[in-house]
Amino acid sequence: MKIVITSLLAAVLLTSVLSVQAQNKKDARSFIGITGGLSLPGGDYSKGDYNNDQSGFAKTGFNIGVTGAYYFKHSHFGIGGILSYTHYGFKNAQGLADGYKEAFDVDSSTVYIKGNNQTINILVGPYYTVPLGKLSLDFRLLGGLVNATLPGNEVYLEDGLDNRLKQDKSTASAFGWQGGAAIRYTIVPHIGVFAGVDYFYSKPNFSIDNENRPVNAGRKIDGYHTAISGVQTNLGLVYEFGK
Amino acid sequence: MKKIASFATLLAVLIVMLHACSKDEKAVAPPVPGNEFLTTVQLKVTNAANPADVQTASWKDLTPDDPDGVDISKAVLNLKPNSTYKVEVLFLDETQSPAGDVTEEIKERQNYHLICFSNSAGLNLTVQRTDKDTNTPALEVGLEDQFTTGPASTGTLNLQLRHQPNLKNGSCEPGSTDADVDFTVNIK
Repeated sequence: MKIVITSLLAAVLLTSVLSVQAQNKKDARSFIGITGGLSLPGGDYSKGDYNNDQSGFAKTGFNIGVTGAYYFKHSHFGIGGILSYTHYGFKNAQGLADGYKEAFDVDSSTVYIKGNNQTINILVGPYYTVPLGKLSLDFRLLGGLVNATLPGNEVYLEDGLDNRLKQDKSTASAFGWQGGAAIRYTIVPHIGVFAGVDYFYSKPNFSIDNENRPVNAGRKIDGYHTAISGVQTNLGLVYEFGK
Repeated sequence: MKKIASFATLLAVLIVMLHACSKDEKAVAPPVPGNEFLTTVQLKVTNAANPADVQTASWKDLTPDDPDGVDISKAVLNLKPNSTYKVEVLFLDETQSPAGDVTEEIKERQNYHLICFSNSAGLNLTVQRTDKDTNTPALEVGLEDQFTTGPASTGTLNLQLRHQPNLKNGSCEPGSTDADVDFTVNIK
């Protein structure tokens, strides 16, 4: 996945650089705007396997955020950033319930998922743009803080009294990065829309508390140190500065 | 510009609010009919002083729905007084052919199973579990035991297989009962 995305980005970048050499130089338009789209997690983070301790149980979700970039005068380079929130659905809660039922050899189990897989991202970094009339191709590579949340769960085994075990919700922060490209189109002066795609990556180190686990049986996760990565697609509305 | 800036600010606030919100999701794994039965409980007893002195007592109920279907004709142990015996507890499902070995399953799930013994009054028998599970700290299981007899006497030895999912603490109280059977013990 990484190789495909990296290759695509490199190809697009190379094509753009070559094409820009052939056109008249034109100032890049700085912008600020809002963005949102689908987030598609990958790797172990997107698996919902009870028996795999690295499973993150994250399924396709959404992201929203504010973004912007300032392009230096007479240059195609700039600096920009994004503040975004990413929310993933929970994959295979039923698999967790079935797994605990089997692991404790009980007639039935009920699992409540507490919270969501989600991240808040504050990322900044360089931008490169290729202005093509009303169109612009924006490339970016951003890095910064990712604050991630791993949902907890409560498991009730049969209907026994006090027979509840719990994995607490946990949060962790780490350095994260994302890189991608977008096509921006100026609809009317100063107002534009864009569509883009990014690859994102971070690897927070979660420490997880568990409650009421007197016996060594059943899935028990004390820590989670697995990459949160994948692809996100975005649509956005921007205000463009300059002429 | 002002409108977009305002909207961007609102969105930033929304992001923080969404981050704080959560909604529980629920999943239930319901009972599945057709689980295997536990029809037979056996005590395989070996005299520590004479390994050739081996006997097996067997409690059997092939028709769990029929209270009169219990076969206790072989649920009898004849032990020597003032002796020590090594004991294995075996669980079988004899509704299958060949009989299903439930003992191995219980061994795999020993961290939440416990076998409890109790004597009727007057029976001079001491039971000590000798195997332990892999809990921290390790707790007794009871699939392997040591019987120590005293002077001659007769009575009943009750055996219960306790199922203690996420509850096992070394005592017999928590959990539910998977098997509850009686053996007649003659010490003579």
